[in-house]
Amino acid sequence: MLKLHNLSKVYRTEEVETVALNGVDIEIQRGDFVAMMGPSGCGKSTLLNIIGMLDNPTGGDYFFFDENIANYSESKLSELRKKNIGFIFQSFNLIDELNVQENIELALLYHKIPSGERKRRVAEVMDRMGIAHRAKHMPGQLSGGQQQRVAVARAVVGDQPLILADEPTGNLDSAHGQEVMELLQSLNAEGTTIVMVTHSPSHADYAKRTINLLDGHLVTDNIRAA
Amino acid sequence: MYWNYLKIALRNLRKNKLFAVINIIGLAIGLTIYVFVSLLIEYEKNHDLFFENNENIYTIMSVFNSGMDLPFDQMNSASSAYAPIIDAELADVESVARTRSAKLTVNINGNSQFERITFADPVLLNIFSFEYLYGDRKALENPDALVVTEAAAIRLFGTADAVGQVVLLNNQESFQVTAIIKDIPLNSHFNTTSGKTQIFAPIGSLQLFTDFDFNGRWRDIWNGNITYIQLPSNLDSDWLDIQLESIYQRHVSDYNKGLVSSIHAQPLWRANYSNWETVGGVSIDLVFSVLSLLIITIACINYTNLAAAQSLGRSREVGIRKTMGASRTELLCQFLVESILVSAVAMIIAITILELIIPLFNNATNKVMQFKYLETMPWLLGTTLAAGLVTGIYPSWLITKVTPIDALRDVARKGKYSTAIREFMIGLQFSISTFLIAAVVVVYAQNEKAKEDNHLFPRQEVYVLNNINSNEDKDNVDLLQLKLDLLQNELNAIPNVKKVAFSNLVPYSNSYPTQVISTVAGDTTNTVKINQLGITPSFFDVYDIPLLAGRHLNGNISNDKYHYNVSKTLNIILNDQALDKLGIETPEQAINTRLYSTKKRTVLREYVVVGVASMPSFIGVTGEKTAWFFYVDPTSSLGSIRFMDGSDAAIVDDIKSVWKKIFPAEPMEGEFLSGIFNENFKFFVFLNAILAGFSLIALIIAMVGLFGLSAFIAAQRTKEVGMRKVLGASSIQISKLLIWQFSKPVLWAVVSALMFAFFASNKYLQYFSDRIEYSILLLLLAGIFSVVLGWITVGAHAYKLARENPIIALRHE
Ligand SMILES: Nc1ncnc2c1ncn2[C@@H]1O[C@H](COP(=O)(O)OP(=O)(O)O)[C@@H](O)[C@H]1O
Ligand SMILES: [Mg+2]
Repeated sequence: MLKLHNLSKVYRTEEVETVALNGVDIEIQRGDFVAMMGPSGCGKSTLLNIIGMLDNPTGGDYFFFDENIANYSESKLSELRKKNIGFIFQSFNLIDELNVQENIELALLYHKIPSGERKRRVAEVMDRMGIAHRAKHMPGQLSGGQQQRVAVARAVVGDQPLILADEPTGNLDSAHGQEVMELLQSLNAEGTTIVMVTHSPSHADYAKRTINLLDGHLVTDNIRAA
Repeated sequence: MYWNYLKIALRNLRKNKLFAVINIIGLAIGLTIYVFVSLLIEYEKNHDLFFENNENIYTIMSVFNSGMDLPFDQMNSASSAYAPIIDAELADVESVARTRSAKLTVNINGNSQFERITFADPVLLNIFSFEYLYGDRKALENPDALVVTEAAAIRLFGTADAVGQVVLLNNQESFQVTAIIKDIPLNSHFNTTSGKTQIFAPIGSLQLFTDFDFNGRWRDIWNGNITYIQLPSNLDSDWLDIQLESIYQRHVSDYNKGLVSSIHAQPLWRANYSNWETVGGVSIDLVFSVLSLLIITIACINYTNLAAAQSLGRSREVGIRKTMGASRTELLCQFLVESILVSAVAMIIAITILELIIPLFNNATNKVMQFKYLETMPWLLGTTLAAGLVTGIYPSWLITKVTPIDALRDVARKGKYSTAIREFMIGLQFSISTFLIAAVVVVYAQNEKAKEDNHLFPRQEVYVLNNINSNEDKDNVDLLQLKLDLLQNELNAIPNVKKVAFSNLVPYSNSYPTQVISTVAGDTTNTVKINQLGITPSFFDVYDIPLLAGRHLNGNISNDKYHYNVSKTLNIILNDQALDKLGIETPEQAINTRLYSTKKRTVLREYVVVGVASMPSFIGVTGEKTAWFFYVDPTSSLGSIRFMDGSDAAIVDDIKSVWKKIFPAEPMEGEFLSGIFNENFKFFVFLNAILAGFSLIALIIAMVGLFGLSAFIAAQRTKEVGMRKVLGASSIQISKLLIWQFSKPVLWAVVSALMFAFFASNKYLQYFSDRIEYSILLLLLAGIFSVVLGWITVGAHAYKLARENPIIALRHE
């Protein structure tokens, strides 16, 4: 599905240069469930953002379905991203001024889908995530676990083949964290490719494959025997 | 999609109520002013449209030769000689009619009063579709006919049914009312700021009262002397222009071409507008448009600045939307929908305010302005849309340009990329309002000075009589003289009267007859223009004009007295400016100098200078320095009565009783000289009031904007301030920190505004010959005022923030 070759990312600010990624090579297949681990500041989020086309690499190649997109412009990436990738963030990133239903609908809003169809799909996803009774609530009125469910619903409603999750359980207690992991696992079982950053080894166990990063390098890449 | 935009826009407005209110109020005020001024200008341009065939009616404009040095380039007036020519030569023209107005006494059953009467060719009633209550369009065909409006009929005769009533004009000619028309609507050029048209008489009868010639004269071009032309609907103004040009070339003499360089047709709807232009001097609509543009600019900047500051708080939302696949265009649309929404709400408020203001304004100014929603709707929508786009484009561009990842990380908030632009906008806003304040202060101070300076003439102690001898036979000079002498003696007998003089002009008036003077008899090349002032010798005493050399004029010396049909030497007194113009160095040298008025090498008159007096200015209210010569004219029609200071209340009654004794049949018309001054000074006072109003509004918007912005910045710096306090900064230090943030743009703004104000005020001061010397000081004061006001506005927030408990400040985020 996607292949990174000798990928690097350097942040330049006025005073310092930070090498966030240094010669990373990864290939991810359709249907993979990858957990990314490593100490804070080792470049996990940077890598995930580049995979998610929210950021451009400084060097190397990024093949997405055999297309090298390393130097694509923002508007082109935006098109690709819209069709292929859903996101889940540690801090949920829901829009405070929109209610649950509207937040989920946001993921379909920019896809030329007629309003009736959008409503139907949002309702379906809310049912599946068990948040239908919260449809009219504002994010501020929900607990962290509920908010993350909404975020997951938003990530899946678009039916994108790839979901990227940056520490999706980082702000949740263990019970809610587990709930989210089970959701992800069932999505993967239905065929969605998932790449997830986590600090928790037990959550990493839900994945089929674990990647360890250290100082911008790939150190280990373990595929669990099924 | 747009529904979603609208929804989130409304929720955002509700969430940030303070900013929403500030934004909307600022924009609403700006839009109110802008729409009002546009409506007013539109109103003034759309007069006379209720007349049938108004699109086929034209007036003749005279373009003046630039060498004439007149304060206007052209006038809606044409010499009365054109109409007979057009009538005779242009068979295709449907009708042509002239009007001239004259102020005459109207005597009804022994009571008389002055009325402005419009003398017109009878076909005027065919051209204009007046509504007849009594009588018809043929009403002016009798030479002694009068057509009166309903209001005037009720005023004069006590009833609208006044047909058949007889009045005596000038106490000598009887006229009969033949028709009553409905009052002419206020939005017609027939009703101007200088008066309403209420009485029509046939133009032929004007010959009974003035030197009017039915075949026309070439030089009788003045406001109100209009020539109307009605064309059949198949001909247009281009055709008329060609015909007029040809008539001008064939019939106008070279001498008269020197006055008017061309004539052309103007559609009727412009008649009111050009009237406005001539009355206003400086074209007032330009002043209005510029001021209203400045206001709307301030309001837009206000919105832009606040919205830009505020939108940074929404970068996370932008990040999320981008992550969800929103393109930049889609996000731009979203933010623009928001600013258009704000602009629409502001427009609705503006319309509500206008609904309240326009009736009041109509009442105060005698206008019938209307707010026609349906007709103006496209324009209103366009303005709303434009305001929304103009104000929204920068904040939207700013907020959507960040990459999604930066937006999510919220680095935009900390970035300093927008401070330069923000400061620029605050600065611009501030400079406009400072500029306006400075202008108000200078205009006000100069006006006060002009009023003071005009104590040159004792205007609180002079009463002016108008229209003396208006009904007498001008040729019988001896009789006139006798009556004036009698009047003078009787007036002098009033205890509080000091002196009485007669003249053909009084101070502050705006007209001035000029003579072309040469020092060599018959020389027509080396000439100077000197204004002439006919007086009686006591004029110098009445107006405290000191003699610098020579002697006073004396009515008993024969060469001291003007007689128009005797060509002889005339003794005159020059003023100091005339000496300058003639190149005479000292007053003493001027005595016995001979001067000549000359036309085509023939000497019209020889003058001998017998005295020199000091009179720095005379015409207008701006202290303009002009050259004059004084001569004794026994037929003057204006009286100046100098009375003891403080006796003005009772003096009018005394003068009236004297008048009744000498002119029992004529109404007395007079006013205090201070009244004439104020009337002529009105324009400058008006300008000041307008400026003051606009600058007050500008200042309010700018301050409201600064208030909002500093509130926003203060909120953003809460955490930083908390840290500083924990580290030991005092409240004063923190207040200073915040105030300094705003001082930079405010300071440069004030400096540049003052520079502009300096140039602008110099332009204004050029109207006056005696200018205030401390204008720079005033400008500085205005600058300090706005800086201090700005500091107070920002300081209020800074102080509040600085006083907060640091823990609260730190928890804020
Ligand atoms: N926008 C940025 N500018 C500068 N440095 C950055 C930026 N984003 C991340 N970094 C740096 O890059 C390195 C990797 O960061 P990140 O990918 O967020 O790590 P992780 O998610 O593994 O904790 C860190 O040293 C971080 O300080
Ligand atoms: Mg991270």
